[in-house]
Amino acid sequence: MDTTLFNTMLTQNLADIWFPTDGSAKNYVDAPAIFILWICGIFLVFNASLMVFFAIRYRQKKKEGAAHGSTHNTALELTWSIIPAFILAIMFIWGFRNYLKMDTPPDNPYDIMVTGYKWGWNFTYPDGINSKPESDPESGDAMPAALHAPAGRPVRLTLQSQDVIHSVFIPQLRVKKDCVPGRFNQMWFEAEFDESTAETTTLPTADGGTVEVKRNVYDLFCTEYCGQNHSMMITKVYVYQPDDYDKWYKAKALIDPGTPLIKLGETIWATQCKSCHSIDGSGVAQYPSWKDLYGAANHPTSAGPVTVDDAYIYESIRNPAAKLAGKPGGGTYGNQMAAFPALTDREVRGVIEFMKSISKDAEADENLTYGDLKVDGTLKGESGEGEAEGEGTGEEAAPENDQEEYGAAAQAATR
Amino acid sequence: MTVADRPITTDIYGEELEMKPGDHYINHSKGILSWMLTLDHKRIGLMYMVVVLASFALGGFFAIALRTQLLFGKQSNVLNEDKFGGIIGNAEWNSLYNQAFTLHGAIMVFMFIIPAIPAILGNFALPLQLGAKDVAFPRLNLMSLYCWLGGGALLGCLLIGGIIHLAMGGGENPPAFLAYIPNGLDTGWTFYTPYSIQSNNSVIFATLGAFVLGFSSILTGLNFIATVHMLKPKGMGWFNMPLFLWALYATAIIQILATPVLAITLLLLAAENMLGIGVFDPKLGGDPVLFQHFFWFYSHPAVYIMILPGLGVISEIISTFSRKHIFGYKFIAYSSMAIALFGFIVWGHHMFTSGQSPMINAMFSLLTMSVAIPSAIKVFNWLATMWNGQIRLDTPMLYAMGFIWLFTIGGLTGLPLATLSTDIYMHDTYFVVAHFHYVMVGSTLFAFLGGMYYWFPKMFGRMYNEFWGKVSWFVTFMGFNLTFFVQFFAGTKGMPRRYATYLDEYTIYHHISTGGSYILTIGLVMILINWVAARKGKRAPANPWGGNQLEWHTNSPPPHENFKYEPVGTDPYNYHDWKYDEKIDGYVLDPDHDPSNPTHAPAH
Repeated sequence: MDTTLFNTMLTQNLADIWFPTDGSAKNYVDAPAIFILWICGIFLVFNASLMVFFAIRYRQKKKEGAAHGSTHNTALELTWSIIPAFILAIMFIWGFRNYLKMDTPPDNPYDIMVTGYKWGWNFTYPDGINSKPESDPESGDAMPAALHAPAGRPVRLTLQSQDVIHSVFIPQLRVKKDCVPGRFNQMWFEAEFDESTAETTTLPTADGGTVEVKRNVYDLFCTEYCGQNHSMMITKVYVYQPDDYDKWYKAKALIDPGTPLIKLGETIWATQCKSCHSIDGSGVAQYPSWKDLYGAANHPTSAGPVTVDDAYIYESIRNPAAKLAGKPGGGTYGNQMAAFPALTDREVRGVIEFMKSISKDAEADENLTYGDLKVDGTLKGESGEGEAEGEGTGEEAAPENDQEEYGAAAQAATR
Repeated sequence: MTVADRPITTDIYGEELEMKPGDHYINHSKGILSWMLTLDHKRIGLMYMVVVLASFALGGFFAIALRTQLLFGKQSNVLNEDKFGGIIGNAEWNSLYNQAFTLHGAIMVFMFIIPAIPAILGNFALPLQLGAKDVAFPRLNLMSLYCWLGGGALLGCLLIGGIIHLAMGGGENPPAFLAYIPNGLDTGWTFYTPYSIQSNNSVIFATLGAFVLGFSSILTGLNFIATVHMLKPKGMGWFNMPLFLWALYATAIIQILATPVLAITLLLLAAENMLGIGVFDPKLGGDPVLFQHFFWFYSHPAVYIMILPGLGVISEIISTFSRKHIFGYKFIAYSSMAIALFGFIVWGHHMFTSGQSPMINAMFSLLTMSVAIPSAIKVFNWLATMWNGQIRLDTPMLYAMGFIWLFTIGGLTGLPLATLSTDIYMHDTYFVVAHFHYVMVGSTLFAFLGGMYYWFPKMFGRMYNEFWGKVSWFVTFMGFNLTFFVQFFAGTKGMPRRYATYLDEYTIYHHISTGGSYILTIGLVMILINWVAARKGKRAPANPWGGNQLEWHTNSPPPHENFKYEPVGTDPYNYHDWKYDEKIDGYVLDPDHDPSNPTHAPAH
């Protein structure tokens, strides 16, 4: 079907009432939507005017009256059954053809891996760099990691979820798809750079200077209800000209001091451990507290007394059942903790540094980052962090931040 | 006792009738047990009315709560660092909102919209329209009421649990037993996995509640099917049944075929939540989207459980108040059946963005559009019925016309949602919220209110205040459209659903919508006051509207056994035998034209 006529006729001004700015190079939504909304409007006005007209024109004069009139007319009834069927067929075909294009990524797209989690996004770029929390361009407030994408080239997002179902919705690019745990869905878009609405921002360069880049800013919403802070799972999409995108990409690699490990560990505790493990010594009837745990000598476990050191913490996270911790009053806690294979080595290091900081038997270095760490070979290098396409590992998918910590972690990056 | 207070009304021939104790079903017997153990379909209908309206008030309370939150919920600071210190947009604020919209949805869907028309108006009017003494299985009918109360009690546990938690949960060391008391259901009424698996025990209460409520629905459906098949009176075949019966019959088919699927689904969900059996949990090899298939296999047909009886009510009202035979009886009857059948094969349109295959999306898109045709047929047939009629613009007719407006908008806005490429954009935005509120709430609520006004004289033997009936219609109609029409714009601008806060650009839409919801509430309260005030209203004649369906062939309110003589079915839409009697402001039948009346039977 030749849709150019409809495109020009229908979408010019009306689209402004209905839709947000169009930043897409190929818009498969607006034209059929405006066409359908026109049809809706015409039928609504037709039906409503007839109804009101009849109600006035045929209003009863005397209550005795009872009207005579035909009780059916098969030809008429078939007509108003069949005409809508034709209009529906047009809508279906148009929508289906456009949908196939929306659903089929073009060849050679730029690949970004998206992981939804409660409540934010993790974007992994082709060389394995994760995007990190940054700040809102207008208010300067912290927000979840944003998506940075080049214009003029198809961008394919591979979607997965770490916990519950999320959904990526970018209104200005007219795309949406669910992040379903256990599945890898795909979506794609091609953004067209709009000079007139672009904002300018400053990025650092390798030689210590700065460079200005222009970018379009769009919204990215989670549109599948995912719990408490669903409505805060909002971030931005930044679209750059290819040259500027390269500048951003280099700058991204540069400005990466790494989160202080202690801070990283605290974040992980707050998001993943806090519900059981207290840090103030409370709740020990059910779960071990972390207070003064690290460094404790002769700590009772189901496999005999141990010294709580890095190895014990590692083992307890990766294989909790191996040495169940002893209760204060004697006996051990039950085997009630799930293993955490998704935590990266660096994150486990963070947990350890955090535990040190709340223990009287150990000292933590406030500014220690992973790069500074002088440890044995088993801990050096981050396994799994470099594989952007490593869909099955889930390692790089683990978000290393939490919404409570966006402010503090805003400048942090993976390595 | 003044003359006006004398319990005198008129029978269908316009003759004076003094109501003595025991003469009609309301005062037929006394005492609380005579209601609790009654087998009278009319009394069961009235008891349903009380509890279902109470649920409506409760669901409405949560609606107002969440709209009020949205009035203040502007998210000017996206994920502000110190948001946890503020009131708006912090975690508690979000939780409150999530629980409000969950309870709003669950209560409104399971406890109000689904039972409203079948259980209240259907129970009351179906046997009357059939000229029968009662439904086919009166005891089953009472049991369905108690199933409803049981399911309602389980959902009520959530509320009571929430109150207990509020009262005792604060402070450093909350009592340990609180862990066993359900609290904070926030899954949405759709219970999507895996979120609902990870939630607390409140999900189990909610699913069991919906499970038991489902039995109420199944039993009512079963009863109606048997009643329509077995208890049609002499002279009434399938094609001179009132169309309300066709609609209830089609609804009942969905109720008995689809509701068991919901029951299984909810049991599986409860088992997954408690035992981790691995059907829906991806960590255990389950598929979360499978839950959506199961759930919508019931819940999409359930949308037609909600709307089909409404379509039947409107067919009755439009014809009666146009004083003209319904146009295209068979098309309307068949379209009810068509909607019921198509309703079963469109569920996949809830999952266009879930990643299911383009093939299945295309099929569901096409099938979904097919529902538009029987819906359009009905609207055109109603308009053709009004054409050349003798239209009385009483309150029920205003509701019917309001219904046509709302149903047309609700139905038409389904089109961009059925069309694939446009739905990808509009899915889970406020456009969907507006669409289904227009269909489920606007249309069903207006059909229900119209039906209540229509049968009010028959149910209670009193007339409501016509002037305030019209005024409250206007307020409700305006309030509804103000609340929801603006949401179409918010949705196409990209506002996602189920958001406790929102970006600045959506503020105007939310403010208008919340304003509208307050007006809507005022309208609904006016309606309630009008109904309650009708206790002292004018006594209703047997046939205030001149309808010819069999329920108008008996006194208002009807006697315990419904009819004095065994009625004979005639064309329910032939109004010419009823003559207007100014003295009683109602219509009376010439006894010689009443084939049911043995003493007045005309000479053959």
